[in-house]
This record gives sequence, structure tokens and C-alpha cells, in this order.
Amino acid sequence: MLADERSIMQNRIIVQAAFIKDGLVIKVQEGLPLEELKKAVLSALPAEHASADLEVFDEADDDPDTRAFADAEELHHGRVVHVGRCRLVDVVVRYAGRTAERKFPPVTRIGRIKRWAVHTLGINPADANELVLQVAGTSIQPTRDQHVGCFIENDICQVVFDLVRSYTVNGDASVPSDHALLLEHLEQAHFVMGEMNGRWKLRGITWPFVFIDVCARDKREFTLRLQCDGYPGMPTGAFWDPVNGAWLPAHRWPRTGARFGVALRTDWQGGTALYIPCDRKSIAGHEQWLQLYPAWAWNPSIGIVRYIEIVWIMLNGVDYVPPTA
Amino acid sequence: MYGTLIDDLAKSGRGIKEAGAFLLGHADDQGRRVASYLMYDVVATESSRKHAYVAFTAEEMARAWEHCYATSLQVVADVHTHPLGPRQSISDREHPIVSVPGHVALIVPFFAMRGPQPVDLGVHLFEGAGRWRSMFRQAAHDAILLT
Repeated sequence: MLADERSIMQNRIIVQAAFIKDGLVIKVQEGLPLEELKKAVLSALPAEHASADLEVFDEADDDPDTRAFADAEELHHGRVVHVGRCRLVDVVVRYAGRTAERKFPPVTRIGRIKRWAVHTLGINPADANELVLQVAGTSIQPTRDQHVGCFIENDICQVVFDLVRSYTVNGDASVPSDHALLLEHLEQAHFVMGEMNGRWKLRGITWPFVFIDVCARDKREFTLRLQCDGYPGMPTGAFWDPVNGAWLPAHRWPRTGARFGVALRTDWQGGTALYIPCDRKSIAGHEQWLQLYPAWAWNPSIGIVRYIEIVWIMLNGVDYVPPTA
Repeated sequence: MYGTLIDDLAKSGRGIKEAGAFLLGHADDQGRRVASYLMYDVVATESSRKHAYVAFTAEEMARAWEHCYATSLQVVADVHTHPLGPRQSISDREHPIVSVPGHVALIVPFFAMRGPQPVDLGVHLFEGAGRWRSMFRQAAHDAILLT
């Protein structure tokens, strides 16, 4: 007999188990009696999992009471089997405080269990397309063809699933990307630590303007208004009077001494931009600053904290001079 | 609880981003009684930090279900804020937090920063099969009973 003829006379059987979640494909002689077939399955298991108390369950011996929930299963004897010790698995499906619970043969497919759970929990099947079963306490989302018995742990015949949406979005997701990235930076440790330490505080956002109160050495607060469209590109801005909703008049600006030179000059751009290397309006034409003051250069990965920190340093240096007004 | 919830929503969103909460309690033929709430930024810390809108991964949603299981409370409604009005966005309509008919989604306008009363909210009732029924103004006020 030729090898090809021998292979035609073999059947492929898929074996699933808690220790073979992805399934094992074995070949057995066609037409084997049931008991012989089960022996063949058990003898094909990896040696480290072989045990006398394991049983073989055939998918086609399914639970007739849940056949209405079968999900294109095409069940036939001797095709897909499950190996394990639990004859029934207590399945609990949790959903928003509701639970569905029932015992299933370990060889029951996840697809059938999901459809049963959706029905039991009163969910319209049309609303369930994006819902998936996830093993509780894990991020494991079994595929619909896996057996529930694959997910028992330590031979305890129970599996708890959460019925969840793969990904949920609510709200107005139309925030532009520059605004969204700025919000992300405002949640990062650099900015939050500055807030926690009282160095600065977010006053508000009226996009594309961000208002931040920066605390000076004498505990005065100066509000910065930074225009952030195009973020993480450079912002531009200066001190703002939040009471009057206008740029802060020159006589109310803080001053610095020689150390920071003219960074807080009030005659630059009519007092609407600080004269520093990380201000969009000010760097134009002053590219040499990037060599002279690299620590004050804009860095998109650091973002808005770079600008605020420079202002905070100026307002907290020994040569800081409060406004007289 | 209503005032505390609104304060927590405003604090969570800080007037710059959306915030929300699962409203937990019990439902029967008489209505849905809220006993407590679970803020989204508590169970979905990572997604809340990343996005200006409400988002959950499957793991974060499962964390909320775990809380429900531990406290024997159901999600009887949900609430989230919008930057402007209380109408549903496309994602609100397509992603009910709980896909069981009768679930209620509340939307609080202006990031909950303007002292919103029930009359200012959007009350959106999920009817199943992707359908919603929305109530505003007096109908919203009548649908929410503060005790």
C-alpha cells in the first residue's frame, strides 16, 4: 500500500483541553470504534499531561437544550473532542451587575455560550455584535470555536466571564488632534507635579487658548495665555488679565534682573509674546538663540511644560521684581 | 447625591475634557433607583488620562463589572459630560454603555461646570436594536426624581 492511500484512510481530529487551549490536531485511523478513538486521543496527548482520570468528550454529544444558540457549529462525531476532568462546567457571565448562570458540558463552544448569555441577559442580538466574552480577571477573549472547558483553572469546574465591548467610546470625539495632544500633556507627570507643588495651576482652556496661573517667589500669581493651535508645535503668548479679559498692562508685568536679560520686555509684540526661544512669534528671526540658550528651546515631546517652567524659573529667581501696581 | 455627582464630574473634567460615571443601584417596574456611582476615571484611569472624551478598553469595562459583582449593584444608568449641549453624539448612540433595553444615559452640558439641574440634562432611553428615545427640558426634569 502506498503512503498516499494510507493517509486517505486517516481522519483528522481536533483535541482541545485546558492545557491545549489552541487545539491539537491528531490523525487516527478512519472508522475506529468510539472507545478505540478515545484511547487514541488520550495516547496522543503530550506526556506531561497524560493522566488516567482524563475523559474524552465529543462535541456532537452536546447539550440539546442549548442547540438553539449554536453558532454555525457543524457538529459531527469524531471530529472535535475535549479532554478534561469536569463533566459539567458552571458558567457565570457578568454584565453590568446582571448575571447569567448555567452548567454546560466542557465541550461547549464559546460562540454558543455568548449567544445564550446575550439571550438570557435580555440583549437584542443586533446590539451584541461588538460584545465579547472575556475571562474574568484576565484580558483573555476566547474565540467562538474554543471550548468552555479550556478556561477552567485548577480543575475547579467553573468559569466566570465578563461580557464586554471590545472598545467603548462615548462623548464628542471630534476634539482636534492638537487640542487632544495638549490635554494629554496636561495629564502627564511633569505638568501635574508642578500643580501639586503649587508652581502653576491650569485655569482653563478656551481653545486654542490655554490659561495657566504661574506662582511667583512672593506668591503672586501671573496668568499666562498661550495660543496652542498646531500643538505640539510652539505656542505663543504672554501675561493675561483674567479679570478684564485682556493682555496684562505693562505696569503690572513682573520684571527680572540681568540674569534673564530682556526676556520679560513689555515692548515686544505689544506685550502679546514673551521674548524667549520657545515662543513661536519670538523665535522667528532669532534662530541663534537655539545655540545660545538650548535649555530654553522648544521640545515637542516635553511640550507646554517647557514654556511654563521657563516662566516659573524667571518668576522665582533672586532677581525677580514684583510689579509696583 | 446629585450635587456630589455633578461636583465630581466637574472636578474630573476640569472644564476641559469629558467625564462620566456608572450610576449603580436597582431597577424594577417602578423605575431605576441610583444608590451610588462609580467614576469613569477610577475604573478607566488610563483611558481617561489619554482622551478628552469617554473611552474604555474591555479590561476597564470588566473592572466596572467586577465592582458591580462585589457590591451586588447593577448599572441602572450612566452619565457623561459634553463640552456643549446634552444631545447624543454618534458614538453615544452607537455605543450604549449597557445594551439592555431600558438603560438610561444622561448627558450633562458644559462639562458640568455651570451648576446643571435635571432640566438642563439630556435623558436618553435605550430601546434596543440601536434605537434611543431622548428627553430634554421639562421631559428630562420629569424623568429624574431627586429624593
